[in-house]
Amino acid sequence: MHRYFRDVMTVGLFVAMAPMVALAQASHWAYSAPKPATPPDVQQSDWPPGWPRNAIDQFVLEAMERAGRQPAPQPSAATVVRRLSFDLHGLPPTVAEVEAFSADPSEQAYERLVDRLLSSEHFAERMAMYWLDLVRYADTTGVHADNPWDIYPYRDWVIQAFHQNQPFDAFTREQLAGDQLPNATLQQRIAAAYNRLNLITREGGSQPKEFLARYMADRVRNVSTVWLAATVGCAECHDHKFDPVSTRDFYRLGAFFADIQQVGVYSQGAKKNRYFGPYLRVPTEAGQTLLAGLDTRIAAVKGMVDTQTDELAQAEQIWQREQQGPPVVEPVFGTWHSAGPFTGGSFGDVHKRAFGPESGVDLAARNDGQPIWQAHPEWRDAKAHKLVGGRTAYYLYRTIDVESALAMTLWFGSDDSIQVWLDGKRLLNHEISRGVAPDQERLVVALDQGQHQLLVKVTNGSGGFGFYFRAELDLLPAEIRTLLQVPAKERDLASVQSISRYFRSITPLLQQQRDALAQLQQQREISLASEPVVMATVATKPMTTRVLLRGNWMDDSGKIVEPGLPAAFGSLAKRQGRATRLDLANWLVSPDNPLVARVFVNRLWRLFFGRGIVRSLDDFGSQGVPPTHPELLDWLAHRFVQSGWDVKAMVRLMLTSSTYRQSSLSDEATARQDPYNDLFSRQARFRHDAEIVRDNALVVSGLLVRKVGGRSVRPYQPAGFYRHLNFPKRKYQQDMGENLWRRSIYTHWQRQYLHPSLAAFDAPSREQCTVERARSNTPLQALVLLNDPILVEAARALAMRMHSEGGDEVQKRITFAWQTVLSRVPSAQELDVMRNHHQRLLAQYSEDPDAAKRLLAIGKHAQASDVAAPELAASMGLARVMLSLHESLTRY
Amino acid sequence: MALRTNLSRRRFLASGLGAVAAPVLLGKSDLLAPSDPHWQGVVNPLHHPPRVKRVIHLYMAGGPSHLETFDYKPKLADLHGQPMPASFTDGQPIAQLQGQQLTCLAPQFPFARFGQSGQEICTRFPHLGSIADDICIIRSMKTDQINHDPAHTLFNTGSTIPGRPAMGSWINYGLGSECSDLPGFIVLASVGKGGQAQPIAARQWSSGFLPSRFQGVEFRSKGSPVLFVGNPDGITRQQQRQAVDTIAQLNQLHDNVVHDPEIATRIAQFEMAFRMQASVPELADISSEPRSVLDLYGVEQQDGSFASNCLLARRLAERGVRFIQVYHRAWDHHGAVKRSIDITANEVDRASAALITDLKRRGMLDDTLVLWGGEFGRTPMAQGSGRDHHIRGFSYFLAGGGIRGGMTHGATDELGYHAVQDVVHVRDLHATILHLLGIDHQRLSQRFQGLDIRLTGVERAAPIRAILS
Repeated sequence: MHRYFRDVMTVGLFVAMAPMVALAQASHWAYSAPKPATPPDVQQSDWPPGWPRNAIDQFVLEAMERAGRQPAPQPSAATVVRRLSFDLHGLPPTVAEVEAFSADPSEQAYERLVDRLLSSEHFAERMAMYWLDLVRYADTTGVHADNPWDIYPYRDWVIQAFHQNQPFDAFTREQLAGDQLPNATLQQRIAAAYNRLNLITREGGSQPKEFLARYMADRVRNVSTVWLAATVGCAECHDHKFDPVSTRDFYRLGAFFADIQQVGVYSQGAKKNRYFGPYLRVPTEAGQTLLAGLDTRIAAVKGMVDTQTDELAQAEQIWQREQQGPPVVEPVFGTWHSAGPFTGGSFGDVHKRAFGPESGVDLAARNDGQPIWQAHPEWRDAKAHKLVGGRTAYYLYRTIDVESALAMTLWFGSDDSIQVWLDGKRLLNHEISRGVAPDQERLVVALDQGQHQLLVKVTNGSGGFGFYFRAELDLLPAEIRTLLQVPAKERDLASVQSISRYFRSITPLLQQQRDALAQLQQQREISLASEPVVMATVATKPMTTRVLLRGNWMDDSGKIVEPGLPAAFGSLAKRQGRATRLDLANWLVSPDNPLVARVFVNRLWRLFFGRGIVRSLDDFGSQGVPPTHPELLDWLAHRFVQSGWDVKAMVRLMLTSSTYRQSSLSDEATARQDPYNDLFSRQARFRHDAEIVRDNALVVSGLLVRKVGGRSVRPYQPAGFYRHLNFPKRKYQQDMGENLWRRSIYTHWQRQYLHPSLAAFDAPSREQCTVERARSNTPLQALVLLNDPILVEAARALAMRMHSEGGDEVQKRITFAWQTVLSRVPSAQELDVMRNHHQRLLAQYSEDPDAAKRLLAIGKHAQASDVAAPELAASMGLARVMLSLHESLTRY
Repeated sequence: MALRTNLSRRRFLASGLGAVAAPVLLGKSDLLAPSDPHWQGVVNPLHHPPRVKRVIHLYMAGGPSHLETFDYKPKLADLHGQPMPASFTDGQPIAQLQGQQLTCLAPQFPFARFGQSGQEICTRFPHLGSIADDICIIRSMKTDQINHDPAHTLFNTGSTIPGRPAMGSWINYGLGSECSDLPGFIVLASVGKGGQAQPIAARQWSSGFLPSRFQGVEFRSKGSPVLFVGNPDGITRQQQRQAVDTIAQLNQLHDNVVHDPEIATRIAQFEMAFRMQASVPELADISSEPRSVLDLYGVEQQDGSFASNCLLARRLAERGVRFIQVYHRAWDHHGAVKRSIDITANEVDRASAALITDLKRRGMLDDTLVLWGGEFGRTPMAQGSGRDHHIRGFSYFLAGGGIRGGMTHGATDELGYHAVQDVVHVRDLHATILHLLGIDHQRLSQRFQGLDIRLTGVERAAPIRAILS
């Protein structure tokens, strides 16, 4: 725990500060409810045409008027479409979209464009990209071994919430307390996985108590930054120096989360990485379809088992007669013999390969003078026997002497896979990895008088290796025996059916169907188990929450606190019992909460104007930066709440303003006078976020697979990137097929080793709340753009488009590329530069067509093309340049 | 009176900040806009004359036992196998030995005095012994975190809350880079054979809330030394040159229209990337080193070993890289500490000494600071035949410009449990590193989520004056 100010500050100082804090609280702009300001009248009459369009413009113009400034002109239609497309979808527009709007740039066309973009799921993906930064969504635990966990259904929930325009108050409520809503739906409970996004540890030697304290602090920091832009985190160890938040407040906020079922140090051991429970099952459509399909097949096979045929009827009669004969004579089992170990390639290979005994066993056979078969008189039935060897197989063999025909149940167990032959006929084949246990497999066999040969093959993948067997002779259950004692003519229908049902479960005639049924049922179990789960928020008896003095988790002397709001923010309405997360959420989105609406609209503003009205997006406290347009901020916040927290309406309002529709170009005088654009008298230009850099390349090259949601995907990544991870050691399992070209929001987010190309463009690790990403400009970005295989592949795909769609002349192809990538035609000079580059490349690749082929071979996407390799490689060189241009990386 | 003290302190903080980081009140995206490729640092001019220009941290990850390296405790041998006196351990945080019988484990190797200074060093590290007069041993280190991941995070960033910049990032942010074709913060890592390799998170070299240009860049021993530094197959160096030129020309033409200073930066960064494509492989190829140097380190080629990484560190230092971190990941000796130290010493001893000798021969030790140590030490108590994590006392050594060689600073108690004399907290070490570089640790800060963040945090921290020459 960090312990700020331990030695520097004394308790006395804090006491002395109290009056100042009270003062700050009374006057600080962010702590009183937003006032429904009236948009000012704008005096000046000679504003540019189209100004003002809505109330936003009135506020902005009024400030410009006071400063004696003018808004920037409107940008070109193409710039407008690009800006909207990147802002709302994080993707570039198509050439057709640009052309359509350029042909009709009317107000109505603009609004239609905005509405169309808002209605697409891509809008929801774009919004989710930002929200996931805030809530620190990732696919791994973040600490020490950084293990993967199951939480992506939450990410999909966020996307769908934005897509369906869920009101922000409900959006808030469901994330913090979806599980506590009355009759919570599955979706609401998935939303509550928000509470499980904190970093967790499995590191040996960690103290649960310490980490429980960390988890709480992590949650307090997150909820207070995301919804309140309050730096409550400062109060973990000491009262806030500047804002009205005491240490007690910090722990009272923490106490809201004390009911979440969790452990301090998660352990290894449970199966399939799923040790971060509790979990909630999330049925998928595909999974449900699969299960339904299996159910149909199961029903069909069951039907076959149940269908009466003459053959079965006859066999049953014979069987019934046999049962009434003299008591069965016990069969005599021969000694077990084993042969092995046999080795081969992979586990599957060793399992499948016939090493000989399948086609007949000769116990006396020798190999190189050594007997192949070893006798095991010591092996007793109904016990597990140990075998030795790595990835190897053993055969086990014994005879069964039967005096009079009988049926028997044979039970097997194996580590790992097993096959069983009876008299040379294979009755069981189960390729599986498992430890040996009694009665894992069951075979019912009918044996005639004479000697029978039982052969078993057990194949080991790695680790333990063993075998188990027992036989059950008297397989006729007592109740069937009783029923059979009644003469056939006197049996009632139920008895007849019971006997028949039993017969069908053992007759060799239906063995195939029964095997098929068992296999289908096993498949069903596996399918059910592979349906996604999400880490769930489950309320349980709340832990005791104490004020930890100076954040020290070992100190138990602090006062016990109950959930409650920071005192300066008022208190929750009186109610029965302990306050819950739902109470907290309800307070956050109550109309008189001074912060939440302001904080959220300010962040929306930042997405569309490049900076906030309050620049310190993460700090609305006294140390933050005051709003440049306080009335505008209040008006927007008030309007947002009045609209029923309608996110799309707020976005639409911002985007249909004239303020949004300004050029981002700035003349030198303006840049000097207002370097940070405090007046919003121009639009912002900024580098695309990391995901957009990649997604843009995927769109213009035609590679993008526009599938929404689903498990996180693993695109190309340099080999060995995870080699510093351990417990277990990690090898990146790159996806195949369409998952290589999905939107970057779906890229597996490994907190400790985020995909290097995303990280190079400032995507955060999401170990904590990121309110605002940096926008850096580095040589590593240049290396990614020039050399990352996905960008090289995108360049090839774009080159193929240049040839198939662009035309048969170089100039046409270049123009096509510029329109596709930059939504404009190249200038004469630009065209010259491109042609020169093309000429050089074409000459070089004509000299060395082999190099051209190697270049064209990069990436998994289909590569067939009629164009000669040197020609295509030269176009690819042009495409590479296009994707690396500053203009391609920038939102204007 | 108290109030006035407080206010003046606050005023001091605020003004210090304003001087150091002008853009502090702005949003993060403005922090470094326009992003000058030739970053000169926010501490410009320096707060005081520097003693060193660069830092090499030989990072013994996993937590080396001070009791088998630099801190000899004969009393522990006397108590071997007997219960650890409760007076030492009561109320102390304990990791894996929690709730177990605590018994003493004797030092597993003899110590000897080395050099003219007669510094006491474990005999299993004879090469370090041979440079005893060049190094300053600190025996009184202390940290707050008892598990690897948080302890590394504290050691590298001064905090356990993720998202804070690593010291290499702070230093590059403060001072800028001295070379134009390599990043200013480079990380090398090797896995040893003597202990389990604890995972290392990239968080340990993250620039946190500082822009990613200050992030540590990992030099890998397999594949491209730096990610994406190699040309795609089928593209020659000449063609890459032409591509970069073409991009620059087009960017320039675009700049004529939009007048954006970021474009000049973009052009410069592509240029630097292109230079890195040549300089990085050249640098990573140690085969050009003379035989005598290879022998000094005991390496034949760049094989990802700690020894080859030490040699690489010197090559990076020569080229002006500001902060170099060389991880050796096999110091987590919960079991068989004797055998593990034996193996690990073989991997580390010679090369660590070689680096210091090599720097000295080249006259570079005068303006380089070398640090050697881990994220914590190990218990005087046995964990079987090994030792558990320990945070109340452990050792480090420093060498280079501004450091008094041949001295031992501080001490632990008679059983090597608590640092008791001249205690050096991790943040004091941070303050010392910054001090030697010409930075006042209290004056290098950045506002983030309401706090003025410093590498040394807000608790008391001070350079270790006694070890400065």
